[in-house]
Amino acid sequence: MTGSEFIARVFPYIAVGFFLLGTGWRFAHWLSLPAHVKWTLYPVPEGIPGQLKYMVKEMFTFETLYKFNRRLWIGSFAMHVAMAGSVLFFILYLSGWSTKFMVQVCLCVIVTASIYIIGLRICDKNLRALSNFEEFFNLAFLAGVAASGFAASVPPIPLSFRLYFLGLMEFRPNVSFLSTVHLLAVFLGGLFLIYLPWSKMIHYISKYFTYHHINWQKE
Amino acid sequence: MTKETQESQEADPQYPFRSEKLLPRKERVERFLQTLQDVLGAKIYNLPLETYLGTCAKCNNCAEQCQVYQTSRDQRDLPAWRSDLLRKVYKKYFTTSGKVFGKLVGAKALTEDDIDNMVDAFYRCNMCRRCGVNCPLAVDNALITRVGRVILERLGFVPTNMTVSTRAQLGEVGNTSAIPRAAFIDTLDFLEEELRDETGIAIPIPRDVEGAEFFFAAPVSDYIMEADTLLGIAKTFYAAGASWTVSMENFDAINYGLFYSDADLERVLNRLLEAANSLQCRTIVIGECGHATKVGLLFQKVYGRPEYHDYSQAGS
Repeated sequence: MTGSEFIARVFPYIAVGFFLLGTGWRFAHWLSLPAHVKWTLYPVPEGIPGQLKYMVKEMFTFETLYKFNRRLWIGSFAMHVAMAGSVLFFILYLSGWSTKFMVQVCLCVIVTASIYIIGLRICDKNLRALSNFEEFFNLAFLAGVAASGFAASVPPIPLSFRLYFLGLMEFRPNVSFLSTVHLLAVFLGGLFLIYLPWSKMIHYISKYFTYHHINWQKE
Repeated sequence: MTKETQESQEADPQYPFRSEKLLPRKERVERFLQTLQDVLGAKIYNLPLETYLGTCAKCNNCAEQCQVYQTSRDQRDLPAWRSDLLRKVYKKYFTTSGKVFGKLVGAKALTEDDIDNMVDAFYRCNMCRRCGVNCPLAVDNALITRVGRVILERLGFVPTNMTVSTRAQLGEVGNTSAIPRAAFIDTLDFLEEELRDETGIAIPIPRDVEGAEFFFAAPVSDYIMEADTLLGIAKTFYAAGASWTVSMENFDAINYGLFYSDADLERVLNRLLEAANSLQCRTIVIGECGHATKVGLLFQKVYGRPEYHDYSQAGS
């Protein structure tokens, strides 16, 4: 098996496996930690409906950032919405919908927003004081993944690239037609998935613990 | 007296009111790391510490809510920057990524100068927790500040005014203002007279009543400086027909341990709980003062847990 074949045939499974295992391990680890000192931070939204309302509002608007750090909110909100959008539209695309253009738009927004935030972290003296290599690396990595994905879609993604992903899901990937650009996108995307659970970007699950298990703990 | 011993007993000239019985400078790094390991090993703070230290996005949202930073505009008052002082050390010695990648992931080997910076930074924060309320990731920097202070206390960096008060509270007089028993009795008698003069009713402030339903303790200032609060509470208990009592030995709910030491916090809290138990009271009511109430609410459940005691005794 050549390197290219490994990236196209095997690596995606490894990446998804490590992503799921890593995320699951960290979730289980935090869940297993013994009851700690009660560290409730008021105000606590009233009941499960109140907490859900708060979380939904926060997740869909980034309200706290919007209120206190508008310049960062612009980039951060755009980046996260585009990340969710790119996944959603890509799934629709694989399902046969004509959403390729929307995927491309989302990928462009991710690249632009990441570069914007990098610039903000360089130009704003307080953000610069707080940022270390990891912050810049994470943003650059994300921008690289999105850029490679966009590159793989231009010129227009051939129908076979869709079939490649469908083949992956059926454990029979056809890789004969993949170009170097496609392989790069698959490789970077896979590396990002592996890296994600072990980075500070794990906040996609840590928020559950910091809000529900710590700050909103009443018992 | 050797020079080293002499040094260990003197306050740091840079922080004369935040240091006593200082550890010699060259021993501080080792003790700091040992205490941080003790704190992590105790498992009390694991979940908040791991999530707070591991996931802060450094968005600086906290700065816009911090009244200290809003006033000073000093970078040292950025809550995330302050927490980063401890985060760098935690990463370097207690995370795999920090050990392997070092500075690339923001890890840093601890130096004596770093400890000096922490003494400054952790006592510029007033631990109000406001920065945590609107943090997008719900990171509460006040907890990190508190853990930092708890560690510094083991090195001898601790506010002298607090330790003096706590020593008095844990000593014979049993209160932070060192009010003698006779003076306290006189104060309560006077307050009962005030109540009678104001209302025309003989409203008592019961003392050492065994089996009372409510064990009442207030910060000592409520008895001697801000008596209106206490008078209001006495009226409320009277109007409710409640059975309550003040302990003559442990009437001061102040717990400065909240601000610098788990060990002292536990000693003061235990003393209060034991007083309530000895009078066979079922419910403890703590008077006006946010920190005293919070100590009861936040730490009472930890009281008696084995790992907590292990940690309190470690390195002592």
